[in-house]
Amino acid sequence: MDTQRDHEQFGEQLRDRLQDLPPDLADPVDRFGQVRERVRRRRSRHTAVAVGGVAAAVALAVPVAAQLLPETAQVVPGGGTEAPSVTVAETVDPQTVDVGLGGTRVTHLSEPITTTGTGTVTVQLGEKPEGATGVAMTLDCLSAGEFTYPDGAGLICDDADAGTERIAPEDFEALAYVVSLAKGSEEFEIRATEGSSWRLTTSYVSTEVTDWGVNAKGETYGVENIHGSPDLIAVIATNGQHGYAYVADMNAAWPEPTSPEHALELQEERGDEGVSVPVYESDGETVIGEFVIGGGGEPADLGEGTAPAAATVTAPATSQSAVAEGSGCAPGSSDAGALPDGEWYGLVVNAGGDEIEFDLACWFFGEEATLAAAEDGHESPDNDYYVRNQSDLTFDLSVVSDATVTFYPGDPGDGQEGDVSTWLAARANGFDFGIWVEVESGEVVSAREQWRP
Amino acid sequence: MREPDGFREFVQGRSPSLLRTAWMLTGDAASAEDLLQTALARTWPHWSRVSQGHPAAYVRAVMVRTNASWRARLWTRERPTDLTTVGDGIQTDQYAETDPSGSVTDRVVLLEALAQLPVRQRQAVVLRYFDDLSVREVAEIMACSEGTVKSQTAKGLVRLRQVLGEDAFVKEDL
Repeated sequence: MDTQRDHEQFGEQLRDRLQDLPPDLADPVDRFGQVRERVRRRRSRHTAVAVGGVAAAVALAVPVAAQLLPETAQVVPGGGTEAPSVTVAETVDPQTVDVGLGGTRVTHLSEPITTTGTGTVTVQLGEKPEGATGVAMTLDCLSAGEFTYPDGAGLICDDADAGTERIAPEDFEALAYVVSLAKGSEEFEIRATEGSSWRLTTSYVSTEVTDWGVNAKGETYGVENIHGSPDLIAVIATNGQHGYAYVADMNAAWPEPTSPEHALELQEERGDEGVSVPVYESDGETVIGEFVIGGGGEPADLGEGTAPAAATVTAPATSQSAVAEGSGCAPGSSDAGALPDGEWYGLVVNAGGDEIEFDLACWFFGEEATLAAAEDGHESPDNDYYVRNQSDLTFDLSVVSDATVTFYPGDPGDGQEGDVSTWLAARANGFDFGIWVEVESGEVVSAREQWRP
Repeated sequence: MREPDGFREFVQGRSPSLLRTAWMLTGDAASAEDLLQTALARTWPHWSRVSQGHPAAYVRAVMVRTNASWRARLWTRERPTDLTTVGDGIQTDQYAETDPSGSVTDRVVLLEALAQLPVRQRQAVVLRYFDDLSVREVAEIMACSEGTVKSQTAKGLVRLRQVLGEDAFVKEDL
């Protein structure tokens, strides 16, 4: 039997075996209903990351069946910018949105306007009405990329997310994300990966922080806000009941680390175990459930069941504000272990066959390089570039078979293009340069070395 | 939130077939259901356009992309124990003679062999040989050239033969 015939016969036999392989798969009671719920959560899910200045108030609207990230507090959001997904009706009347005691009530002062853009654009918001203190916004990605809002929050979209309407027009007033606006300003900037397009709807708003409730014991209850935390903070118990947990209980159960060494010590102590605290009615006495902090080691479910969410939310920038080239060097806070679609810079730890072990780093150029170096306490770079690699984060990247690699055996003018094996042969003695990898659907489709002096 | 016309019927009618594909891509029932529901939820907003064409192919394409994305995220996680030896492998006829539950063992070994394929090879093999789609249809779903489908499929078959043993099916059927 010749090889080709043998191969074809194997294929035919494999076909029969494969078609017999799946077991009987049970249908859920209401698959359509579950899909509809996912769509609704997708639309109502937004960048529920706290706006700068509210320390430790990362409020995520999630069903509490999921375990928590230790560094997040899974509390009912009080920003008034997004209703908890569990309370959102089919169409939301903004006047009925419960912002929670102490939450921020948002009043829309202008008609929504929609604009589109590609890449980083300064958006003109129109004439600012009297009393406007912020802007309600919703951004839909029209192509894959990373998009950053004016407050530093943002989202990452893959191809499947492109064109998805995150909030229906009729729900805009109730569910739009709100960012503050500098006094007198009538514009803000949307930053996006070069070539990535987006659609933005905005309206001017005024915001008002409501009062916390006070129970018979004189304790405050409600949601976290710019004034800090009440005594009893709103949470959703593991049984789905809305109630309150004592902040003091939570802090005692899950203390903040005081140093990196302490953080490591706490992490080892805690392992994968969560810590439970009681959930009360607002009286602080009647127990109605429990709230679990930490545990699991998996990211919190941001609203799509057990699946990793494709559109990930990034936290606002910290004290480091220089902007790295490409897709940046923060692949998303809820997306540990993944490298989303985009162009990423890093160092090759190892490579072979169809995999690259990739040490993600930040590549800054021009003014951003100067800024990044200053942020790190270094002098301005001589050659207009600066590499920051403070993280030990590495990724095992799968490479498609027809990927091309551009590499530089000599001067920058001597760039060559070849397949992975050609590149590896040229780098048998080590990887002299960092590389940019273009990732699509989780795989590297092309790469190019970053030549440097 | 309005329900797109015809989407419910599509979900009810085509899900069993799509779920089997999802199971072949993921290898377990829970992940398959998750993958299918994720793909259907992503299809919902585009239904008015998608329904004019080939909606099942569209959902399969979303499943394939999503599956690749999940695989990349799970890359560093624990993988199923490899019961075979790449390059030499358990000879199917060796255990078939002594194991009364041979067909079950076959399935386990085949499933584990599939699990060892890189994601694109597995997708190409599943779409070509499980869903019985043409090279052109698979290329559209995987968003790549027909040549890539052929090469990924061929590599997948070679690797499966290595894992299962060179003479796995051929010798058994003689």
